[in-house]
Amino acid sequence: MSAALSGLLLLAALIGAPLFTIILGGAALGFWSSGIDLMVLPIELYRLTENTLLMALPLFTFAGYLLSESKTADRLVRLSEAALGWLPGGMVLISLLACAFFTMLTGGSGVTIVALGALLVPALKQAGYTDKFAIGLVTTSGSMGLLLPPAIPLILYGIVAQQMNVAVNIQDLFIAGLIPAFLMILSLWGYGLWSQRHQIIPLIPFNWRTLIKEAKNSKWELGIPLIVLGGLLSGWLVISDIAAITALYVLIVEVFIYKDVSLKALPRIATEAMKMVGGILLILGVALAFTNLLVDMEMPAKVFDWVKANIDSRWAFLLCLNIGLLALGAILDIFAALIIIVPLILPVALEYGIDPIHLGIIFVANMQIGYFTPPVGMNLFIASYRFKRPITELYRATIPMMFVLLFVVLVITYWPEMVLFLVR
Amino acid sequence: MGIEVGLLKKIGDFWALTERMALVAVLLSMIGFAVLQIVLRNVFDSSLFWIDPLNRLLVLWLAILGAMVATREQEHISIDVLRHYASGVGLLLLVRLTSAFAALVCGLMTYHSARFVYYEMIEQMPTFSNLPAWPFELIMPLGFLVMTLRFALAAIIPKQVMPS
Amino acid sequence: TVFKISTEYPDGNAVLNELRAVGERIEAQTEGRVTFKFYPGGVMGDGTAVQRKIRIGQLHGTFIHSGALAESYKNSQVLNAPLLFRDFDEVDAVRAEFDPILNQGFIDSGWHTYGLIEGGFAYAMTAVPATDIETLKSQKLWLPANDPFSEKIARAFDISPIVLNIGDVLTALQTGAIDAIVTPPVGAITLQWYSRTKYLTDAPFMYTYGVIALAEKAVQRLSEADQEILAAELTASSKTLDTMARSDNLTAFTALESLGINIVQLVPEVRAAFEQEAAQATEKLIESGEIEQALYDRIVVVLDRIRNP
Ligand code: NA
Ligand code: NA
Repeated sequence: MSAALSGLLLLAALIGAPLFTIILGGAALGFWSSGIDLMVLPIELYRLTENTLLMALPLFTFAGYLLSESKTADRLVRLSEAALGWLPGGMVLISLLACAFFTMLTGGSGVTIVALGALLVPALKQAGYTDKFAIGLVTTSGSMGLLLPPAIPLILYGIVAQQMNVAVNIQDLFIAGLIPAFLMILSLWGYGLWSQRHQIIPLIPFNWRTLIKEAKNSKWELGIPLIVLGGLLSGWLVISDIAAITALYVLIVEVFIYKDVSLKALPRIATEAMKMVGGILLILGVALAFTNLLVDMEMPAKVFDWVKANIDSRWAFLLCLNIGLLALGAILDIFAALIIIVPLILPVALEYGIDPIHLGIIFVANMQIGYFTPPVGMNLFIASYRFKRPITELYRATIPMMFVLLFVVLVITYWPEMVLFLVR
Repeated sequence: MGIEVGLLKKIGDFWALTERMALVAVLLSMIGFAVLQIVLRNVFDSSLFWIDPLNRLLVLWLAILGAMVATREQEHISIDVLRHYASGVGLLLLVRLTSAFAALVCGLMTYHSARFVYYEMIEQMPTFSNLPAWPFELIMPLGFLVMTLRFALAAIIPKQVMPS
Repeated sequence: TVFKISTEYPDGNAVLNELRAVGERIEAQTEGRVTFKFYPGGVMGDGTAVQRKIRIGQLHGTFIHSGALAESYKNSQVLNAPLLFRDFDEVDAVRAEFDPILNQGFIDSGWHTYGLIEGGFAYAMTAVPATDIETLKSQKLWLPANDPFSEKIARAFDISPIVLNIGDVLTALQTGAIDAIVTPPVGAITLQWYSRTKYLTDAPFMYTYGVIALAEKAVQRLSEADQEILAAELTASSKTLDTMARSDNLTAFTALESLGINIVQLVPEVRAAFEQEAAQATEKLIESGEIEQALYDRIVVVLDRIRNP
């Protein structure tokens, strides 16, 4: 019976049933076979209300949709050409930094893709990059920045480790995350230069006057990073506050100052944005239920008992760790993964002589790639939906970049001195 | 088109409009409340206790209202690997099958969220400011009921097929 | 029979080790009839979610802070009244008399508990020295999300806190979005919050405790004999955890000093005024039905006896 139903689920997934129904169906099937009341499903969905950070998702997304409906992309391209047009791959670097910064604030929840995607993809294309490259870059960068402070995953890792009486200083984690994060950004930039070498992307000589002129043109939009950074650094605001202020600010700027968006268009834009957010949040909610099923069945513990029993070399352990974490990153929420998996692997890793700071960086770096690992990385679905492209096209666009980052992760994994250099 | 069908369509359109208005209203309230709280906190050194928990509840409301609209417009995130290679009658069949499957799952969720809300009512579970939780939770059975009906309808009459 | 127990304490922590150990002892004594599964790290959700899961039978119990069960048993909050105690001697005197009463109260409300387990005193930790009430009240104080009782206390004191999830507190302290927290010393150290505060006001703001609570209907599945084994072992274990928490918090308090936290002493008049205000806040809590007047008064009598022998 269960096998037949599992087969039905797989079939439903393949023929394109909504993702949330697949996950929900899977969770329902699992709980039903474990004899647990299916009321657990709404209980888990309701847990969406536990987290204050989730508020940032609809608010930033709305702001992002407003920006993408206005002429911000044009202004942004002209400004970045004026600022970094002299540098080969300048627009690529700008996109990478913008995504990393935004993800640092919002986590890997896909907000980056939704909010910045419609801005950066046209900007990149306008600058001369191919459509495939632009979409791949933004999708890949949707989880870039999880290693940068004050991204929550590293803090959470540190806390879990400390609770197990393993001395891990969170500052050290932040410092250790810097080199890997910048290595990832630089290697994608380098990949961009190489893969787009046949595209005609003229270099623009630097000119102060043009830069000032373009900065004046987009002065209101330049207020957005100011609000975000200022709110964060001055300590006036927390992330959900920043999201609300940004949404209101963008609304006022685009509707009343630039007048790029008419008042009448607002309900349509808001609905479009919330349709997207609703889809994502619902998937997050049912994914909570699915994660709970795995936890209830004590799946993670079983897997790691097996690892402990069957793997004995440090290198083999690290390789298994990479593969396992990639897979987990693709199916589990990063926070759930940290809370569930770290207590299991940390003692094992210590036995193999792995530095706990190093392990934290390996963990988050792998999770970051898990977000766009085919076939089920969450950010692939979000990008497919946001850019209205079939998922297969997203696979093709991101796979080369995934290998680039995978190479960086291997370097991070097998060259601990590089990661721990700044800490020591 | 008969009179009944016309009436049904009118009701459907009215309901869809209500949904969209609710969605926009919830979003704008969320922004409004959050900004109000910031002003109160930073200018008047006070705050309203109900704003944060209410806004977290509104996230759930947005999730479900948004998903309802997405269902109506058949724009849910999906793994459309096979659909990519299908066309014509085959594609129509796929749409019918996936919609039927989705209707089934949503129906199951409607039933269990209705039970959930019922128990919350019986047990008088409170939410913020000592208000009962169940009225805020009603969105779950309601939302999934609407989604069930929409998926079922799409399984019976696959109106338009999204181009891949 | 399997008991599935959730807790916020993470795996690998000494609390979890003790829980697993008692689980094994019970399993051995009941010859495998009763086994335990633990779900640490709060993976089952917050207090409300956990109680919902207990209601549907996915979970059978939890090791949880008392506040989470206040909906079923209001009077459990009486020991949390602000500034009720001045030191641990007072706590010990009051608990010697009232532990059995509170434990029975939980049992009468459908929760099988096995004794109170200390969480420790929560102190106000601030970025500036808080030598008077006004300074303390003007801080941007963190309030945990989904914690009705803390919210009620904040209301009663007329403070306007900033609501955040636990995971966001360190970041908020770093940026200055909040500059004051109320926490037991152990929490301040494990969660690294001490690194972003400079001062601790040496007036125990609130006493906190937890309980191992099993659902009545889950316990009723067992035979009389097994129930007795369960009760004996869990009571012993609760005692162990209680003692452990006391020494952990005392160690943590001393550790905070060596980590560079300045302990701010209140001058007697300020302290008296503070206690006065706390008593008024408690009155409000009693009026709104959070705590029963009679029970509170009995505790005050015990405290008076210690303070004015
Ligand atoms: Na993101
Ligand atoms: Na993930």
